[in-house]
Amino acid sequence: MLEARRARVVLIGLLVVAIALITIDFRDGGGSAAHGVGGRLFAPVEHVAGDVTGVFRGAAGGGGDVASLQRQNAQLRAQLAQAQAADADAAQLAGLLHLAKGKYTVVTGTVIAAGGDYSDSVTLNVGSADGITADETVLNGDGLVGTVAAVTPTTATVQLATDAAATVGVRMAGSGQIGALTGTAGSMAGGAQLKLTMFESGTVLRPGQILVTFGSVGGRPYVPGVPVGTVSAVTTPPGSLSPTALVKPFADFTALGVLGVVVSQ
Amino acid sequence: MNGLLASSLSASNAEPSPARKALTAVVLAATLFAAVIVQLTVVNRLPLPGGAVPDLVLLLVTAIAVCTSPLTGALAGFAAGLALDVAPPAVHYAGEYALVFCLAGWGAARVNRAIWDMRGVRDPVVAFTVMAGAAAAGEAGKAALGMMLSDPDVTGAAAGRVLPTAILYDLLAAPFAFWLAARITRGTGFLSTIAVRAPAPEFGVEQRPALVFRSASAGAAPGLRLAGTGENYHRPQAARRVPRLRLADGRAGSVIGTGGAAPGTAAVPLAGGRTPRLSFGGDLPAGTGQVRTGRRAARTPGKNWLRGASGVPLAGSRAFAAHAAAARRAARGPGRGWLAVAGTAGPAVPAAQRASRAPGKGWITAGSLARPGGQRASRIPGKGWIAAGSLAGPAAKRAARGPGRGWLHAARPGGGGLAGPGGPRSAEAALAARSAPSGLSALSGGGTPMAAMSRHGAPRAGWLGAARSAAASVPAPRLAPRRGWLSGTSRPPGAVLGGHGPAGGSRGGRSLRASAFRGSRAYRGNWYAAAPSGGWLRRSRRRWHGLLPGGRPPVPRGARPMAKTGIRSAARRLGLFGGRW
Repeated sequence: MLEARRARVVLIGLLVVAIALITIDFRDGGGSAAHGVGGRLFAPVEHVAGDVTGVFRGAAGGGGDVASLQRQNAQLRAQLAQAQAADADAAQLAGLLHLAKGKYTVVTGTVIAAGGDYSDSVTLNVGSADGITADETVLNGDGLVGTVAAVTPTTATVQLATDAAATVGVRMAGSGQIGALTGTAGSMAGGAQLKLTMFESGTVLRPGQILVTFGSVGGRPYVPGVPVGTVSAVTTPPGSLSPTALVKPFADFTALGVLGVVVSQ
Repeated sequence: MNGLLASSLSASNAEPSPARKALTAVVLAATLFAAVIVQLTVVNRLPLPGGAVPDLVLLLVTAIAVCTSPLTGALAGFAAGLALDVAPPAVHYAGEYALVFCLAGWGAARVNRAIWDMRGVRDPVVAFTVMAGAAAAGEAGKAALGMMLSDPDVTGAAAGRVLPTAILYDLLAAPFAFWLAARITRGTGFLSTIAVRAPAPEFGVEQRPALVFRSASAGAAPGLRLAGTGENYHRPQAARRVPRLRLADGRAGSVIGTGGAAPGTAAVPLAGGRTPRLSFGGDLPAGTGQVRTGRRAARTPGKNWLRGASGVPLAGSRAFAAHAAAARRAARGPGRGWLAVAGTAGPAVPAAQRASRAPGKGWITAGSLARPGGQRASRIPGKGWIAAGSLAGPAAKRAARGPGRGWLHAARPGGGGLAGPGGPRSAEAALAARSAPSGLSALSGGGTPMAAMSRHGAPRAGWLGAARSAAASVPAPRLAPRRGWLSGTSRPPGAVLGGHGPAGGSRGGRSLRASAFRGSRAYRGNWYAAAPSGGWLRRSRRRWHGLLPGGRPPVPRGARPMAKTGIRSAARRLGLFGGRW
């Protein structure tokens, strides 16, 4: 009985602590110091574990042909996006969006951890020590992956584009019409689709249209010109003003290996 | 086979040393940490069909909980959940998983214990079922809390898609987690301590304990009487039949102290040819010729005082006079539910002095003083104490002081072990040791290595460490039943299986398996020595059938099995309604 009572007292104490943590984190919008502390504690261990599992995945950091090719792909993709954006209307966009001049710098890292059932997030084995800061574009050789949500000295947490909390501004590759992509969560399930909502009511959506990122001010959180995906199904409800569609992303979110982070200068 | 099982069980049942416990705690923490890392770096990245992954951490938390205790479960759940909350990929609010896992761990252990208490058997199947259910509930709790906090990722649609798959994967991975936790906590945990509680009698809900005791005492069962309820209060009684306590090795006809030091030998007749028994109410057994000695139980302050002494009238009147003069018992029981059972077995002793002071309720003191000079002062401040001991050596002195309530205390240092120069165990001592005052001590074989088992307190529910050590002088064991236990005991495996020989065998490895077979009749004992938790008198599913000679004792009409008493009693046991917090 004494033990049971003690267990209850401890339980209540722990619950109070947990609720306090939730409250503080809720107030800070998910960015309380607890995450930083946890990151510093767990990052080294996850590094080691990621390296170990990376051996089995054939994509260990630094070694392997696949890894190096993926790294190259990510860098080329970023350069291509920059070149295309420059080609389109460089001056106008640059003036409008204060695009970063010069070449994109891509820091590549390997995924070492992933979030649980409900969170579409992965952890890279590169962090603020490599020059990564929050809200930077993450891509791979296929296309847009997400944005950096949080960094520790040695890790960066990437919020995938499929996360329900992520919103990406996109424009149609040909017409240049703009819209917004929202994640639907469940990227690890495979076949994750993004929801596209076009801003112009007269936009005609067809399956097969290619979407690229529209770009953000200062390249944060998304640099322009990164391919995102293709329209797979038009879901515009009858009578709706804004056309909607489902978009199949280029990147395979179930097999993320080497990712590149576009580091702003 | 029995011996092998017994030795392995004894080994696994030995109460762990603090170092062992600390080591287990460290291993558990390391395992949880590793589980967190593996979950984040491996499991979460598995592209399993269905879009969900098993939650190894949650599984491990619940498995640890059912294998240990609610406190451990809550702590493990909080720590592991917090780790998942703050480890880098996490984007949800810190504290969510800590809250859910903490509740899941505590609840799993709590429910598991409640079920074990109700059934009287510690069944790993039950533990596994509870663990799997708790894991499923934890998955649901994660989704529910995410929705409550309006996590954009946790929508109704997402939960509806993820939850069934996640639970399915959890169930698939649950055996591994359970095996891991049981393996780690083996020898130290709750599950691995084989506690075969004897089947409890089947009493109806409306059956009153007094009637039960009366009917029991009228039959073959040892004399259990509540104070003032027995019809033979002071009347001489004919010698009753010896209650046959068929212990684990299934040797029919083994009497009282089955599985003694010398298995296979003829049972040593009891002192005086009498049955040791529990008699409550402070009366000496009739027919013993003893007078009520000294100041005995002048005050029975509360209700349900149970108190008894069984003396064997071997000593002459002079001895009795001395006994009367010297035996001073000051029993102060301010609480209710005292049970003091003292058996003075063997040659009655002068100068046996005893002062038991039990301030709480639910005290049980059962001891047999067998040697001159045996002195005992047990002071047990809590409620629910049970002290069962027999001091057989000269000048054996014992002072047990239990800080909490719910302690159970049983020891029988037999022979001359306590006094040191007592020399080898004499036949007399063996005799005395055998005539335990109750089934409590009778459960353990005399002169067995059981003492090792009782060296440390078993903080679990329903433990009875009845130890009779002939060779080792050990401090009295401290065992803690839970609230409402009368004499809740779980028999030590050595006693369960009877064989105390040094038969070799793998230690501990069979604990799970053996416990699974516990339901078989051969492992049953006497019910009064191993009573389940509160309300055991009235509700029970077990039957007496086959336990006592002459078949089933008179079970009153109207007795209903526990299962029919409905969900309210189950909820009451769980403390859901009106339970104290």
